[in-house]
Amino acid sequence: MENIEVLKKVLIAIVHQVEVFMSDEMKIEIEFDGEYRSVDKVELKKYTTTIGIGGSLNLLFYATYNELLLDTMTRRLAYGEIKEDEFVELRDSAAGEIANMIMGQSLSHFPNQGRGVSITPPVTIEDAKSIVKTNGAGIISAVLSTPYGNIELNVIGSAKGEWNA
Amino acid sequence: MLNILVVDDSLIMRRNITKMIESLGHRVIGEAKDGLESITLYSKLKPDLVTMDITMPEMDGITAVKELKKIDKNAKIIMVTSHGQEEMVIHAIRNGASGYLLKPINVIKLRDSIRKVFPSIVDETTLQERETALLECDEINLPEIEDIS
Repeated sequence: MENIEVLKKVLIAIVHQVEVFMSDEMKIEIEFDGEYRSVDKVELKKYTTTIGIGGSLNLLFYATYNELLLDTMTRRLAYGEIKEDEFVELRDSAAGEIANMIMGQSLSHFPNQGRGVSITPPVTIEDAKSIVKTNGAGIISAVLSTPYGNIELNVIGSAKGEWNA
Repeated sequence: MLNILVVDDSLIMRRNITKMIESLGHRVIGEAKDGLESITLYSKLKPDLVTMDITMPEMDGITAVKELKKIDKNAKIIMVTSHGQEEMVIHAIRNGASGYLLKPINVIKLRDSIRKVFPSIVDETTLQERETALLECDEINLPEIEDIS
């Protein structure tokens, strides 16, 4: 399987789980244009969460979203009311937790049912500008739109071993 | 009422689980951000129950279960996990976890998981259910009031 095909299969699984999570859990309308784009550079939005996909794969997943969308998701993920002084910290945490849940739910839909694949704890970065493709790596990207702004999902890296045979 | 230790590296999850536990009438006696901290807190606080995330820095939830079981072979631990981590849940249960809870969590799922581990436990919803049952019973048996006007 070509590297970019492996990345695409991983991203297809993630996009599906994002659609399910947003509509079922967040009650946010979401639309996907069906395009999986191979790109050289990704422009990042205000908040970006990354998770490493390791084990039998060697990839990075990035989800990048604007402030309004992340604020809305944070309020919907939180149980009960959020006090204003706890909101910023909870938003950072929500970004990671949402990515973590989506990735966990996507694993069984990865090529080879995700056997031998592990994920790292999520890391959220604020105000990062862009990610640029380097030698040997691929970037595949999907954009989903909601009434609160877009969420862009990216899978980056090179598949290894059996995945890239 | 149970004394519970909540273990999760995510602030929002610790907050949500804590608020849900409190709404069920139990008490959160400690919060840990990773498996390593959970071991220190368990020894100190001796909780009745631990809710344990799986993917955490420093020490993951499965290793923490093994370590907690070495400290207390009767420790009651509910794994908190996402779909797709079933293999890890099985691994945790083989190592002594008492049950699991799939994310996203809500108060009903949490209550049911606790009831599976502590079948005779009385929580706020049990009390509400009993109260509702009593009211329904009263409504059925209420004698008719004579009109004396």
